[in-house]
Amino acid sequence: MRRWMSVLCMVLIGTAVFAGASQEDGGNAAPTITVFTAGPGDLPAAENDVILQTLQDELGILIERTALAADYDQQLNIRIAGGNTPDLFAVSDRNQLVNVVAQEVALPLDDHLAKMPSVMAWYSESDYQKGRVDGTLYALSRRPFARYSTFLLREDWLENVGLEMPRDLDEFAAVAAAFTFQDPDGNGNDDTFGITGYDGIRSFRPIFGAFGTSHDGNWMIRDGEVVYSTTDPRYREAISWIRDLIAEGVVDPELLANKGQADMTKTFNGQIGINYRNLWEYYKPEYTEQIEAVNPSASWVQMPAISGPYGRADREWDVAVVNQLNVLSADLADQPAKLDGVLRLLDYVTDGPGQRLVLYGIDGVHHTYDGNAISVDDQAIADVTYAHNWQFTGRDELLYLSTKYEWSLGYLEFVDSQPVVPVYNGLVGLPEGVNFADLERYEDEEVAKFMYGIRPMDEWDDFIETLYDTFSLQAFVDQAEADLRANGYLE
Amino acid sequence: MVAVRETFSDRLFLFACYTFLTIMAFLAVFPLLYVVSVSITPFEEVLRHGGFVVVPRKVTLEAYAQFLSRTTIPRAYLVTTYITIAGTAINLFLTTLLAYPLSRKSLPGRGALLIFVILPMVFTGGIIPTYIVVRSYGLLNTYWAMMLPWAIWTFNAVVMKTFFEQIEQSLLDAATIDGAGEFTVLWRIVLPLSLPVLSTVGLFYGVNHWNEFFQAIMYISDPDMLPLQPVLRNILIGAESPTVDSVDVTLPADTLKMAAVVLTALPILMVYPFLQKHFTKGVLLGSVKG
Repeated sequence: MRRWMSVLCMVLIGTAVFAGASQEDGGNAAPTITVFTAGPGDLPAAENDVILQTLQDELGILIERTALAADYDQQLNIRIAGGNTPDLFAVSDRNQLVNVVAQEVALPLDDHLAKMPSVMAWYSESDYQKGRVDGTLYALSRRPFARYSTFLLREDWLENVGLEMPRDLDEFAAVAAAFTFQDPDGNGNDDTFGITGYDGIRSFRPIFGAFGTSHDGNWMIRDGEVVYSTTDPRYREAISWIRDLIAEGVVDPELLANKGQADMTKTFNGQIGINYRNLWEYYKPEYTEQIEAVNPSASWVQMPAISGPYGRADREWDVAVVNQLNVLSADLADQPAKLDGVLRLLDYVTDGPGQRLVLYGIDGVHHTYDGNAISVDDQAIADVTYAHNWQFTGRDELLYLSTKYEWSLGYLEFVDSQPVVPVYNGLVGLPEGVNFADLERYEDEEVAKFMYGIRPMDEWDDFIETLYDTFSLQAFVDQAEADLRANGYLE
Repeated sequence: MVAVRETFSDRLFLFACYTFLTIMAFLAVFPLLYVVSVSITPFEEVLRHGGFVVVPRKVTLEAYAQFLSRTTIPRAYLVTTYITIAGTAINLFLTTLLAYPLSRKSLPGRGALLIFVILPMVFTGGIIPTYIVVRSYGLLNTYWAMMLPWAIWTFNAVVMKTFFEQIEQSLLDAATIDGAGEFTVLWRIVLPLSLPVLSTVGLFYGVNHWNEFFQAIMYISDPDMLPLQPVLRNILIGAESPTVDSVDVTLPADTLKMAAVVLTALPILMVYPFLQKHFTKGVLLGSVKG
């Protein structure tokens, strides 16, 4: 008995010492930097992460890296509340940035910019604007992604039903109806639908674009005035139009219930003819294989913007679109070695060899760089698909994508050539004491009711009134006006 | 032996029972069958059948190969196995040491101690205070953070205490008269008689460690130390979010998701049959006579 007890105690104590020891190492030579970001994680183990290893060697720092695919905000809040703020972390939008600034965990960056010459060379005023709160720079915004999404349409179905690519709303409705009722796949069964989407009531972005407005919850500027899209009369017209479309039965009845990749499964199965999606999910070889495996004849094309009563636009596009805001912990103010490490890391990945490392992997292994152009080894680069997790400051989007995915250039240029409705959400913060999430949820629910004919359109004005009375919309409008004026978009 | 004649109504009743049980068994097995089938069917085949395959016609282990070839997965298995074994050992050790004294009626202040033990069942500290405690003990980013917090579940301790109380006092008295101390009584008499409760409670703890997720994502920021569940979630989560955040990420197909389910559930499923006999075994069969 006693022997058994003592063995157990030894084991427990032994592991405790072991566990404790592993925590203490690091010494004082190279500072250890904790980096915490959201993103489709799946980072390899640290010793297999060649990018991590190279960054550590080049910069003389140690990096402790976490990329969380889920529950990121919650984890970040716990770490901040527990007094363990990561040295470098990401927030996803302006509201979160305002929050961390209010909690005094974000380090003001204006005085440190000089230590990041590459950032200064590449960043424009509008990039900085996104990271400023009350005039102070608190975040380095990742340079934005390009636009990827449009309506995509089954071209082979279009031929089968004998119609042309739709140019305006009426033609679009006719195509959707033909895809639903004229058996476009010729299998004799009534098993197809015109339109589906992954984003619920927001799947109709190009329809809103054709009405010269955007989906609910966006800030626009028209004739020098701030317009909140939900209260825009054009938005009401668009909803009324979509309502008729849905009543006709050409929209996937599961539209609002589509979760995750449900719409893509319907794509692969050949059940739908039009979907609002990002080009990668339709043209990346991994996905085209899946489409062709079931329907070898399926051919998906990008649909140009359609015109409507207020012009022609494909979708809304945030002038200050934010994909990621990099924030430094305020604790770094009195840890100069660490601070220096984080600044050098951010600067290194912004230009030159550091940028090439986080874009294309190791020179000579995953790509070769001849001092001028880059050629990518398609086989080898598949080993570093996680590299995007290290692109803190973003990239020269078109150059990157066309180098890495040569086939994508045409599709990207197509999306880029489509006209858009500018919105300004990335610059608008939240007023204190009101809850935007409640407002958003209420809007989504009610708009869905209007779209699906559950609520009569003549109650629309009551709906807008409720937004002002119950959800304090005016406070948001005032805030938007103040923010857009401060950023020079309003007189 | 007198043969019992089954009447028609007996047979009808039996038939109804069997039918009912068959339906229930089918309802239980069907989702599992579906998961396994999809995981071993080529993805194109799954799509061709609208995502619904019950009996696979073509079989491939590609999804499993894809998973196991990731460097993070074997390591995550090791971590999970370690915290399951070591964690359950710690749990059982500490829970026993709490439950046994509480089961002895001679313990001074037993009532007050019991209240002290049971109170946290109703009121817990909350996420952030717990995080601060774990942090202040220097447990962040150690395997201990997944084993020491919640090392004793009050509920399990109470189950164990109740079981210990059912052991005949005379048995323990007899051992004491033979010169056994408290530890010897516990080790030599009580524990061998308590295998059913130890295996039950051990299984509760073990399954919980195997499924370790929450504490891992709270306290572990080093990706190399993450157990299986968060690692799988990180791989699969893209399939749940409607858009791909990065063009470089390709979403895993359904087959891959199902393979992940099988890979995580299988090992713990395999433990059940070996523990089952302890659940049903008689407890004190023949130990006290007269």
